Amino acid sequence: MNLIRAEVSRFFSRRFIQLMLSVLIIVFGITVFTVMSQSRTPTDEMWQHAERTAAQARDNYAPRYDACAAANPDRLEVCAQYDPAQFVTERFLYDVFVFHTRIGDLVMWLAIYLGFFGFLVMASFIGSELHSGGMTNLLLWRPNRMAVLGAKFGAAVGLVVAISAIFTAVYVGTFYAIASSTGLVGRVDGYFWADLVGLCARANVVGLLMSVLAFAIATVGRHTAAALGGLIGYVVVWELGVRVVADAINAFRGNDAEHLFLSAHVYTWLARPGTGDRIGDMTWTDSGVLFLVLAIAATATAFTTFRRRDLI
Amino acid sequence: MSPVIEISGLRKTFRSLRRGEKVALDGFDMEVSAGQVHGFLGPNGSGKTTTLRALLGLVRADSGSMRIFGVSSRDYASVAHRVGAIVESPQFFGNFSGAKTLRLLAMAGGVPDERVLQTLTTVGLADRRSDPVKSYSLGMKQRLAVASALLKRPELLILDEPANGLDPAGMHEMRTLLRGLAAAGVTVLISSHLLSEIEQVCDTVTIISHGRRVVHGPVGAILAGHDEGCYRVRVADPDLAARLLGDARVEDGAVVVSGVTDPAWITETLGRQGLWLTELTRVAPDLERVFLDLTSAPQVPQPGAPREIELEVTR
Repeated sequence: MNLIRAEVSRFFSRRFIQLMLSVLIIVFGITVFTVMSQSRTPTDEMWQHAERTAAQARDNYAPRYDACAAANPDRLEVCAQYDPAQFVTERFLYDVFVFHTRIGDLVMWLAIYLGFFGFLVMASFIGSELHSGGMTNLLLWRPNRMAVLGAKFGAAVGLVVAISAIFTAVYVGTFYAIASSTGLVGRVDGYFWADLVGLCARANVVGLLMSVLAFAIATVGRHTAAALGGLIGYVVVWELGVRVVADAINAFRGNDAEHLFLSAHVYTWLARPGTGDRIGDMTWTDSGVLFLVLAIAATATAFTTFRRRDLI
Repeated sequence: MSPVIEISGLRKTFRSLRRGEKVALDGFDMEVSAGQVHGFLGPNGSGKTTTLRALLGLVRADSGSMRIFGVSSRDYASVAHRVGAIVESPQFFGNFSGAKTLRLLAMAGGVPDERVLQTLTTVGLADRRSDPVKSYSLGMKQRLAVASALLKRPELLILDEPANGLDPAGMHEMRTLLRGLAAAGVTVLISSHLLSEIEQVCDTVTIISHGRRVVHGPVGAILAGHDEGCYRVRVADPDLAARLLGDARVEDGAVVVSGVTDPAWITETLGRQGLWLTELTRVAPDLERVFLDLTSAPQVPQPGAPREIELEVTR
């Protein structure tokens, strides 16, 4: 308990973490400003135009949906992108911030913010301690490596999760308030809120996954920079390099290989039901299981390495 | 006195894909008795820090035994509350104050908060306790490191290079502090490359080279063991004096003569030839000379060679 208290105190005292919290708030502010600057209260004329455009879209897509549904009677979800029901009037209220239609995209951004926040904070929290000798000093006091690393991991993950949850609530609440005052809230029924809560939870899971991976890489690499290098290396070599080479030699067909890329799994994980935002036949379950396995494997590797390592 | 630290036959080889194998400790032995200030000397890379880290459970030894307060180092956790240590200078977070740095350690170790101020007072940092560590001088950071080791009122204090970065006044304070701790019954083990510091503050010393002990015992006895009866002589014609005195050499215009049991022999020998002395000074052995003698070829232990080269000085 003392160790946890000390780690919580250390977490909030670290200058880098304070900086990252400030950056998170600044980025949030920029997002809010951007949304507000592009939104105004809809006029009657705007409503009429939106209703006409939505009706046209529904008319255009109804035959496609019917054809798709006839071809896939047992897999209607593949026809979601043609579903006329998605073309609600609010979608065509240009220059108006409609909470119902826009919050999904904004939560995608939230996932990115939380992912980077968690990654940098966790990498720094463990990396700088290992690099500076702070961890060694702590082990001279509490010569139990698993307890010391566990307390650091538990405290940091717990705090990142708590900060992410609070930030998410403030984030969504702020955009709801903006929509209420200068835009349009739209149709927000129980189903919508349940869907939004699920999406926010999944965005938080992305942040948590990034945090755990950063902690593990920085622990194994003994430095904050190891985590940053690992992330950049993965993106450049795998996400970009392998894709480019595979495309050049036509190694992958269609979406066959998308499940090899973490970015595709994050995209699938954050997809909302009925929107068609999915890649091939990838599902939440596949991506969720992958995230869980990755997180457990990374954490186990970090703890095993740290338990055996010579601290020189 | 019962030994507080007993190390026997300690071996450690570091293996790295990039750098290959490096034997850091090759059957090292050390013993530190209760209440002593014990100096731990050795050239860079001789295995001092590896020894201390192994003793404190930070490095896993390949073989050998280590005991602290009679308990195997494998059970170090059971005696950790009796040991204060700094292993190389920890890099504190610059924006934390000295007090906060210690308070976090105290919190983690279950030490009462009031010890923070007491310890900062002991090392002379009480006035600067609220200042960020980045505003501290190197010597102040070193004293903060020592304070972190003192926080839990240790019975055994292990300090790796505690005088690093200290100015002469700081060194004097550190010496006084260590002497005071020893007088209060704290056993102190200091690793240092500052030989004069060790000589002034330590009761006993262990010298390590190439991962093995080359000499150990009381400082005075080690120095006496290396007393070669050396004198410095100044005369009008040093070259002639050197020829007359036999085992002698000319250094900076003076004659340095060794193997002299009675200095009257020098005055008599030179006086008989009409060479009148303007200076006759005994050149006492210092730890630096002993250290260099013992840690330079050909006396250094060679890997795999028998361990009989070790000297024990008990006089």
